[in-house]
Amino acid sequence: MKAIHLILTGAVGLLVGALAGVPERRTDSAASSPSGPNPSAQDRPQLDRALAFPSDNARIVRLFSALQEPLALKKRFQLFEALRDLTAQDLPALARHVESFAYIPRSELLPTLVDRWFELDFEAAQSWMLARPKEFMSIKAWATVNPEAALREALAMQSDWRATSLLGAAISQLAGEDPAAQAARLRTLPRSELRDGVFQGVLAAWAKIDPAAAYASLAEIPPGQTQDAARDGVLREWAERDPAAALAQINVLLPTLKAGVLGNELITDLADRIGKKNPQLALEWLSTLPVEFRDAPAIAAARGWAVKEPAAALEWCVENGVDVARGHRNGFNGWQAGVLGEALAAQPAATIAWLEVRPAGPDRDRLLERALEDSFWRVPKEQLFDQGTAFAMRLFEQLPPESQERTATALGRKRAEQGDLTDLGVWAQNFASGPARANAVAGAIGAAYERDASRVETLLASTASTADRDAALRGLAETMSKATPAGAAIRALTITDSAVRRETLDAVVTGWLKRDPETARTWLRNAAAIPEAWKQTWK
Amino acid sequence: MRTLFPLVLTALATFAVGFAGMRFISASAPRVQERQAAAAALSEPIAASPAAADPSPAARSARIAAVLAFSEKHRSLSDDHALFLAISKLEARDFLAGAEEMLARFRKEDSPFGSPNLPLAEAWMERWLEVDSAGALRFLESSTILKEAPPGRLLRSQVASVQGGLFAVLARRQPDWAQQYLTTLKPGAPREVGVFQLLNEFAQQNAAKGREMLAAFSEGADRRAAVQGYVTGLATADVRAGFDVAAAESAGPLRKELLELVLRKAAERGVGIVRELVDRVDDAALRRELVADAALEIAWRSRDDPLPWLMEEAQRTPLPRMAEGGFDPWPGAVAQAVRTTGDPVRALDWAATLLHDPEKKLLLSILGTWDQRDNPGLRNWLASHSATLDAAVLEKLGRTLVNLARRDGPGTRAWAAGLPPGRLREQAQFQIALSSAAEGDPTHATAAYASVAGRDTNGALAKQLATALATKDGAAAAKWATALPASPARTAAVSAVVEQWSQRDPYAAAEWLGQMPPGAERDSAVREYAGKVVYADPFAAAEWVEQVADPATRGKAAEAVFGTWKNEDPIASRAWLRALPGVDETWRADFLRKAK
Repeated sequence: MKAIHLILTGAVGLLVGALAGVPERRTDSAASSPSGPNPSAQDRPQLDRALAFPSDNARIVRLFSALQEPLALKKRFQLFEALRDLTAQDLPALARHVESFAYIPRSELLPTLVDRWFELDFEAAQSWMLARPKEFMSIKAWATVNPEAALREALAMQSDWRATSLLGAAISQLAGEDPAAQAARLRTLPRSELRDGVFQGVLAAWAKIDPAAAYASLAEIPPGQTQDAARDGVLREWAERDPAAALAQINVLLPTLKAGVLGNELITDLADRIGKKNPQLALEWLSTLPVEFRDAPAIAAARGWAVKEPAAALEWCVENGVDVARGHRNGFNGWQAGVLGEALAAQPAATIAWLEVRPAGPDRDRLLERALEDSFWRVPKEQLFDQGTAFAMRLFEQLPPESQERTATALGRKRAEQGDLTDLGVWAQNFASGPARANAVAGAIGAAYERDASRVETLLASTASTADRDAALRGLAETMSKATPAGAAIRALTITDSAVRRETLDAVVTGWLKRDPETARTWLRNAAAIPEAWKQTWK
Repeated sequence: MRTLFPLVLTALATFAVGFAGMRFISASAPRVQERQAAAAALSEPIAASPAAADPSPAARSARIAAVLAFSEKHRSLSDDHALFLAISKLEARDFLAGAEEMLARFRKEDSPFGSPNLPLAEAWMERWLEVDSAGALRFLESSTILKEAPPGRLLRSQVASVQGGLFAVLARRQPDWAQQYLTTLKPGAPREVGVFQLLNEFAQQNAAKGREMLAAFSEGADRRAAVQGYVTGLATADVRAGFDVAAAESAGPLRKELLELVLRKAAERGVGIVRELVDRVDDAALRRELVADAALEIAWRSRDDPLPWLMEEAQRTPLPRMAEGGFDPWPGAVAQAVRTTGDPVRALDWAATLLHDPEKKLLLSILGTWDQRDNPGLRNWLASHSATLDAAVLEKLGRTLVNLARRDGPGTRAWAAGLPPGRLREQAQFQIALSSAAEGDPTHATAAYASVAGRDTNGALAKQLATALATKDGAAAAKWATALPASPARTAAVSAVVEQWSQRDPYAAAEWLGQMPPGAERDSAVREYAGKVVYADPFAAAEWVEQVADPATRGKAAEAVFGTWKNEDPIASRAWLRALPGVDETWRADFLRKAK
């Protein structure tokens, strides 16, 4: 009995001792709490918590430690090293765990994990992917490790959205990097939309090496949208590599092409590409085309020329009736600067000098105005207003009054966007009194408010005249009107000139009533400073 | 007592053995932090010792070439591994020898949306400073790289540039030099990027020093970048402190940007802290925008489901109704957040009953962004709600149904055939037929339209069909449209035909217009035509406008033409507008005033 007591006591003692000997458990975060601000565990980024994978497995710990590295390239390095150490047995549970992460950390880790899984246990990884039809990742690893199996699965999927990528990756593994060999391998497969889709990609790659051969293989895809898209892709590459040969081919196609309001997209694109390499060739070719095809590609080709030889490109346009102010359109919603804009971006001083010697008149005026607007986007900011260049002011000063009035707001905005405008009153002295000056001041303070609202009172205080201050208040109210209409209306009410005050308030209130009528009406009811007659007009 | 003594002795002895044993075992197994440190040490690249590095010019060239070769590639994880390893093998003199080539590499793929070379630039500078900080700094002082304006218009994208990466490393490793260097730069983007990174780093590492730096940069052109950098860093270390600084800014776009920035950091921590911070925003409109932005971040970066919180926010009484017209970020952001979290059904059930959204913008947005890999799920939801979806929603489902048919034609056709008779079924069958018209077979579509024509009171469906028909054959589409009885549907169809046909074949469309009898239908058609032809020939478009008889329609046609023409010729376009006959003078005065 005594012996039993002793053994039991010994066992209990051992157990209690062992329990007492367990070191106090410290979590990752407790160990790494910053000494300064100490957010509670609840407030820590959830990624930290998600990374706390319950494992003593050093390989897995190393994997998650890699994700904490702040230097991006070093993180990738460490991730690679950590993945290299994983075993096939580690991966099922790890993948399950990482799947539960939020979208961004999941996207960062899961594809690399599945790539590694394919290397370590192809069958398991493939089953995992097949069970998750929404996952688009590790396609390359899938096909690299076992291209025959990947090809089989791709063909079995057919309409699955991953099938084209998987088949393409499998083909490039089986046939090698040579597109001709890939095309040959594809020809052995039964015709299908899936095969056509992959063929299109192979032809695009082939065209980069041997466009003529790729073009000759177009018939592998049945006539229709896919074949047309493949043909256009091959011709585009051909134009980059051998413009003359591409043009010969497009001339053959020409009778089948149609020109719409914007010309023909393929012809314009080819002219754009060839114009960057050999503008004379492109422009000579365009002169042989039916007139309805010419305008848009002529602008495209001359833009490419203007980057290298602005003055020559501009002169050619003038001589051949191509409008240098007209933009290059990509569809009805896409617009890029025209020949003048490209020339200005390449050589602003020379382009402005070219404009300045044009004969005085409406055409020169419109080109100067277009050039000023293009300069806001295409000329380096520091050259717009800096002493020595000041291209924006140089163009502005040559505009007729109406053009100045139109462009002054944007000019003021550009000036203030630079952030170093400290005295609005002094800057306004660059302009004669009148609507252009008012617009310039309004534009400047609007941009200053958008950049840093804390600067606005200082700028307002720096205005030297009532007219400038009113213009500034108008600009401020107009800029504030969308986000803070009540604040904008209050600013507008402080304008001294009653006509400007009314006009500004009208713009603010009208927009506010459209966006949020209930709040706007309530505010108006309580706004004692606004005459009742004005309120009536907004009802 | 004598009997207890051995027991006590045994208990004490075994306790001691157990305690010591466990401590021994624990000591031999590293704790989490230690394991992480050990792992980091294991993965730390071993820098080649000076003795081991081959100083010959050939070896130097090879080391530099290795870095450049890897940096040229579109890189996989293993390529990045090799690149980092190659950088870590560079020696002090290699850096200077290869610096210009490396800078050329950095500039090669610069992008206004963040440079793909940023990680490379960071790692390169980090290593150079590690092996030869004096040489690296001397080089930077003589180089223009940090003086070059990074691409991008917003400071946020400018910071994600090569220059941003270099400044980030400098701010961390050589803050005094970085601060001194910044004073030599003129105001502008390069200086702003540096100020941002410096403040960001200080605010993260040492709040007191960060405040001091903020005060030093809080005047003039530097202030915006300084506040943005400071708040970014502070919010990384302490999101509430970051919020306090952001909220104290003057009301305006910068304050909103700072609050968004802080809430994005908070979103990594889940809904709770975001809710706590958003509750401190009094401005209802601002709050609504912040919630939309934060919801998306929560969905992307945390494991919390933002939907219950969004439901609460949507019920708040001061929340304005969904904005009519114009851009409203709420529906799009909420729909994307729901899509990311992957539970659209609950969200749709809620959006279908949302009182603040009479136009059901949120519902349509969620339907429109439904995961395209889940066609059956979308069809199931629509089928189970076919009786409760109102006519306005059904009318706007066209795009969703077309996409369904495009992605899975057979499945969608079978589903539509199995729907109970009613508007959803009609709409679905019409949209399916429409996709076949787009592929070249108009017969199903015109027959399907005949079955829904009676309900097409505003012509929305006729417009869709006319557009699809005219994309293939303008003349046939025109014949179909003009065969419809006089109705809003016919008007919409004719306008749609002209819009499409004039884009694709302006000469044929013009010929057809020339044969149309005068009247409202022709006026509308000419208006559409002029609005397209102006892209090719503004003067011809202007002449067409003068063929519109009705003054109000002529005014609208003139607006469309002027809107495009003014970009190329503001002077001629205004002169034309001032002299245009046959328009209402009040309209002209008002339009010209607004067109300033």
